[in-house]
Amino acid sequence: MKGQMMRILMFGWEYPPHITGGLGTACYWLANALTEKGIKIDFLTPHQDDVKNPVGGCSDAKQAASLKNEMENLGEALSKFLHKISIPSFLSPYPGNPVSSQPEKQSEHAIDDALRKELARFDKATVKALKGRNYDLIHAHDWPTYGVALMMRSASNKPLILHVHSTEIDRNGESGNQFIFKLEKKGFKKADKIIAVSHYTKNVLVSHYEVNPEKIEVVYHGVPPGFDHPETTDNLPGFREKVITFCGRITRQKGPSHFIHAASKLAERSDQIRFIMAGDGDLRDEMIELTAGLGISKRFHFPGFLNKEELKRLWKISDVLVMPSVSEPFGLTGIEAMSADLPVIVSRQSGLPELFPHILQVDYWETDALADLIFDVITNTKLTLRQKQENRNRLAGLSWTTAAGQVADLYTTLSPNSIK
Amino acid sequence: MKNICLYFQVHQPFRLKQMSFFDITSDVSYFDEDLNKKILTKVATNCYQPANQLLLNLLGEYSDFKITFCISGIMLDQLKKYAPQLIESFQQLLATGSVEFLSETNSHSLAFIKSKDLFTEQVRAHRKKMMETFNYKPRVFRNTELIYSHKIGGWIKSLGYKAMLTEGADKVLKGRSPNKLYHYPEARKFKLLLRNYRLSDDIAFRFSNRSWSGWPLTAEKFAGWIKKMPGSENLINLFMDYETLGEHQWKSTGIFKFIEALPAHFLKNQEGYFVTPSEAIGKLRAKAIFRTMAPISWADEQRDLSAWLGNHMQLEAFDFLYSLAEKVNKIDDHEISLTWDYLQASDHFYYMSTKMLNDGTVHAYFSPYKSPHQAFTNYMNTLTNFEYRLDAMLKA
Repeated sequence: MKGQMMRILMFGWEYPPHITGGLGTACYWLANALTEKGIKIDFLTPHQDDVKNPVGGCSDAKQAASLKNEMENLGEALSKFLHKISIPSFLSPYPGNPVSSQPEKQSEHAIDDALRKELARFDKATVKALKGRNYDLIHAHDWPTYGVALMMRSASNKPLILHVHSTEIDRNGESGNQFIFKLEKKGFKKADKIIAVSHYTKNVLVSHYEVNPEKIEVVYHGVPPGFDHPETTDNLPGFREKVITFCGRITRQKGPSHFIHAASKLAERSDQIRFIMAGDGDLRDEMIELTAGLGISKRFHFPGFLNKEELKRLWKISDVLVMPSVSEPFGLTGIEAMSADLPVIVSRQSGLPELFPHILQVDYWETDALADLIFDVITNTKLTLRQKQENRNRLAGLSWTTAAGQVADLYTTLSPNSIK
Repeated sequence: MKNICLYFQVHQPFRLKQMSFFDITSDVSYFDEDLNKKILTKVATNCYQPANQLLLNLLGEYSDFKITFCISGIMLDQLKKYAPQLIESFQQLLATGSVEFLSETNSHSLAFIKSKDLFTEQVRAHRKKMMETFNYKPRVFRNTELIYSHKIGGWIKSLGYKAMLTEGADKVLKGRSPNKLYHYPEARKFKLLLRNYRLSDDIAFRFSNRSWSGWPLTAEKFAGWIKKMPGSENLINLFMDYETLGEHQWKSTGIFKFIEALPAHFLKNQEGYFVTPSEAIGKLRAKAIFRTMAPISWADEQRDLSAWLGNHMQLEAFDFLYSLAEKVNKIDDHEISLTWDYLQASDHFYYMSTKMLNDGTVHAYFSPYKSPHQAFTNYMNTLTNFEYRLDAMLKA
């Protein structure tokens, strides 16, 4: 083999900050699959362990410990082609969830200020850490590293790919953080290529960020391994009721209140149902109070953030996963649940139906229809079996190798002189 | 002539363990033995032991010094479990003849809201425990956290008690003084002793507060305030947590020295007396009625039930708990009935309060949880486990 191996500078997130952990999980598996193709990656991440008082991401000790543990396993799995660079920072791709222990006391202005400061510090530290290193291409996942990625691009004159897992529009709608929205918009304008995790996301980029559709490539995720053959786990709650599960960051984007309102309607129809809202987030306390206010908290559980082992157990005791997201670019949690052979219901505002056209869908605000669908799934065995069978068929067609192949082709197109 | 009724509430709950969601139907224990033992041992060292000793000495020294206690049933269980020497110590205090013990509910519960039967049953259980532990039959009743209403007063009267203690709540007194003996509207013989919350809180809350105009509070100054009151005000009820001595107010604040000096200053020249509630009702005439349909308590600014049942989480948890009463009744099992007692402690609901400001600070001071929401979800998970356990036993 002649020439030089392709070297990529990747700005990633290997700390899934929350239970959905879509971004961190996806970055990790994608990077891993790329290195298997012989591509060298310097994988740079904001590193929260080194921060004394993390204000984003990890919100409790258990969560931090679990992530640390996963990191150590990850480190072993990384091939020799993958080099990790950690920059201490409290940056989280999900600001406001929970940015501090008392988010309600922070004005948006104060958050912006703290964010700007931290970004400037992070960017500077990153540039310093990367001094003297040369790359063929820069690849950045989601907004917090877009700024530094743009800086690196103009300094090195190397092509830049921005990989969009979610946008401020998905997270917070049009009333979201304008600073972040503008940072994203600027990034999309200057990037050489954009990868969207679904056509749904591509549409968001085109309609809200005025991105030229020609510039956007859709690359679907693979299937995070390890959920398809759950070991026989002891210590599973032996609920006699049907178990309806929500799992994700408990934040506006994921539509937790829609789940609870549907639950309240279902609770009127049967007392043989339990509801679980797993995860952590800025709306958790509010959602707990909502279940109490609706008088359904007796059968409604909030187990908090779950690590991977606990997630497997959650899938095992659940009868259906419900993802009533206001906007769900991809929905990796749904894929994990499907690989654990669980039927999944999603909102129409989701990327998953592109890959799973048979999937049960409802507009996120239609909580009556959502309650009906859930009731169908837990009472209609035929429907459930058909769903599971279809899920399995479609899952078989997804792989990180395929995703990495598409990304590697993009690398070659953008940087034709290097050899991969 | 002034009479001081100095009464201490003695209570600790059995705090819950953090119930893991995945243990929600498993056979696990509910109560945090380590934490409960640790707290009881700490409070015993800071308060119960030195305070009992001090009071014992004072009672020996001043034959006219009188003390009143109410020890909750679950507190007696904790003492027997973790600090049995304190049971003996309370027995010694009682043996002086200058100490009165009061009745309450065994669980320090809010059962009165759900039913008269549940409430009465718990009053009887506490009475039985007092008899077993102290060979003593209380004559006066004090409900959980001084909660009182016309309805509760009626029940207690019909159970044969002579009097009840409650809060001298402004909203009921409407400008009248708490420093007198009152009586039940339909029964002159059933008396009500009302807490003077200003003077009680001067000791319980403000004693160590250096920005308070009364600081530093000395026994001489305090006795002086009381002696200066109008002649018609003859019963000053100082009701507080026993833990005020040495735990809420640390030894370094001088709280023990204050109590130690109080009898001498107050009894001087026979200007004042100490009385127990039974003595007060024998000695003083009740001339006015005290009536409140809505329950009052000594908690929070609102002096009502909102400290325990002020938000939806508290109401949900409370309803869930008592929805299990029927099942519990069908099962004759010692463990189950102990668990049932301990789950009913009002403290669990107190921890779920979402009040802010001063009240919120007090709630947080007592709570073992990081937030009221955590207190709620943990309690609900524990009840879920308990429900599964009851169902399994009923099926067997």
